[in-house]
Amino acid sequence: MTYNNNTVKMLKELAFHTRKNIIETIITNGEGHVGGALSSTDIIAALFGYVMNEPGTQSEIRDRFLLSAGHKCLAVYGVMAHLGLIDKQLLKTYNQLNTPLSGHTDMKKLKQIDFSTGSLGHGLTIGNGMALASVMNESNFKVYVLMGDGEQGEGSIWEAATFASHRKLSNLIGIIDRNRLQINGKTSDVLDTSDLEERYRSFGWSVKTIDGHNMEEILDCLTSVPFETDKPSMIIANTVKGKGLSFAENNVSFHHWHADENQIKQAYADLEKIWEEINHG
Amino acid sequence: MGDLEQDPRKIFETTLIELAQKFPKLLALSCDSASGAGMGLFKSQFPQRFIELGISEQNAIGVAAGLSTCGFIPVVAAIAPFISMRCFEQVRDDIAYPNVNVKIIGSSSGLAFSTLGSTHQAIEDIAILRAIPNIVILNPGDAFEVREALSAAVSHFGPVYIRMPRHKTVDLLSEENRKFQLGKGEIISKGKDLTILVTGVLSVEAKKACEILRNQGLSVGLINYPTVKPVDVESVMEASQNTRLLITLEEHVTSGGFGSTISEVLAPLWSRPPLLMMGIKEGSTTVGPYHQLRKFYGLTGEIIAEKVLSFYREVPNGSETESD
Repeated sequence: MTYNNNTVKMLKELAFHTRKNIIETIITNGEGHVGGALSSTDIIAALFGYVMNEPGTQSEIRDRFLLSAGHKCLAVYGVMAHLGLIDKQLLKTYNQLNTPLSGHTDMKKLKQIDFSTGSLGHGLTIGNGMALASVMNESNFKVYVLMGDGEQGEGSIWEAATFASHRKLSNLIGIIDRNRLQINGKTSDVLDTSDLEERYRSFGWSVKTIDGHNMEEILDCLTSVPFETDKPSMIIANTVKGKGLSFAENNVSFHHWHADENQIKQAYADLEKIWEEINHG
Repeated sequence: MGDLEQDPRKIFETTLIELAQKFPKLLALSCDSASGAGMGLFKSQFPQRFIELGISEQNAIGVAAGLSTCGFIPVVAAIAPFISMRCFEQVRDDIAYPNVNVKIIGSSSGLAFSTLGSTHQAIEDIAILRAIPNIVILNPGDAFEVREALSAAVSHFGPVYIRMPRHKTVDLLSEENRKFQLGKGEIISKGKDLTILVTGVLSVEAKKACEILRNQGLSVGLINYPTVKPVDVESVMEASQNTRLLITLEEHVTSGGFGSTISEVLAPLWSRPPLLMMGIKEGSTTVGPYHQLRKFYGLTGEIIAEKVLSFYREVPNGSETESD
């Protein structure tokens, strides 16, 4: 798959609109999981806007996307709303009674979601099953599983990582949104996962580390999977939690955001700045 | 059939082969448990459809869930406590709530691993699993029920947990007198004085207890429940209206299991018979040879009859019925 400068600009704009949707949804609702949604926005925009085949559809051969860190769901809702995969008006219902846009992605409420997630450490196990099904059915689709770095503390991930390399699931692509923060502080203080590259290599994966906000690097990486034949691929994306929202960036207090008036004003100023950078930067 | 003891795992093994021939999307998933669970024959006959997960139940459930989204019918087996409890959250979040077409086989359930201690005895699995939505819980007690339960589970679209026996047993009745229907109790006999509601491997002991009690002059009913969830409310209601005492019997703790299920059916009734719940007392776990352990818990025909009789005599107006 080849891409050009227009692709990069298109995806940067998509990431902008996704960020805008995330922020405005939280402002409308009053609160929401912001930090991880914004750190994973650029990767999710690249996946949904360019890399994945027929995302969010019911096609049997569509590429699958699993948001293992389900609390980052606003990035998925945000990108799907801009791409027209869901009605943008639905964003206003986020977290409201009986909404299809719950605080974690739910396949029973929103058919565009490939599998429900929420409890951490499940996505890679389900991804294994889907990737295996793709091979057994000769469907040739890929499975992308986005996880957090704090999430890497869950033991089930390592069961899944072992199975993926044992079965040589080269159509399985793991992505870790490494923003180095979790609820109780820095991951290096809470439960250190700074050696993820070594860990996944020793578990038989092919691993690349990128800047998770650099669209060219994201595309170079996502369009070159599998990195090695007969191995699952792991992309470790270094990111900034709360990226794009000046007061939330790298701020442990903004895992979840209760929007106040001053912050809302600043948020719109921040969005304007991002738009300027994309178009004139 | 009849008096001949049969190995439930062998029946499981041959039934799985028959089903694999009928359902091309059926897969067998093992957690290092192929032979123990009765998947050895499947592995040799359908190697491409056999998936070994190793000792990793959480991943096994996730893999099964993922496979099911692409049209496969994964039948995933492991020793009962591990596949029901170790990965309970995966079963809840990735199987039950999404209502996917996965069959979970809890091998050697109940007290089957009697000598191996509390880690290997699955005596809380019904209680845990029945709290979550959509999942059907089957608890076959003999070879006939194992075969029928597995067939019914694969034919049913949605999550099913089968609580598998391990030890050889005779069938409750000869096959021509049996009828297995998912979600239905099997009415063996009706009785005015008391009715035993039994699930799983204790059905044969319940039958023995009924014979002893009848010899005491009591009119005794017996209903067998291979399906624990959804429980057959109709047969419970009918028994509650026509009998003076109900007894539940299970190789499971009495808190939260089959007996609790029945008590929930009875609770809102204005008028209902007393319910004696027999099983394993929570926290009393010990070890020993299987049949000795059953005896230790009072789960043999003779002891069941003795306890039931003693309780029955305390039921108001109960003792008078002996001379009916």
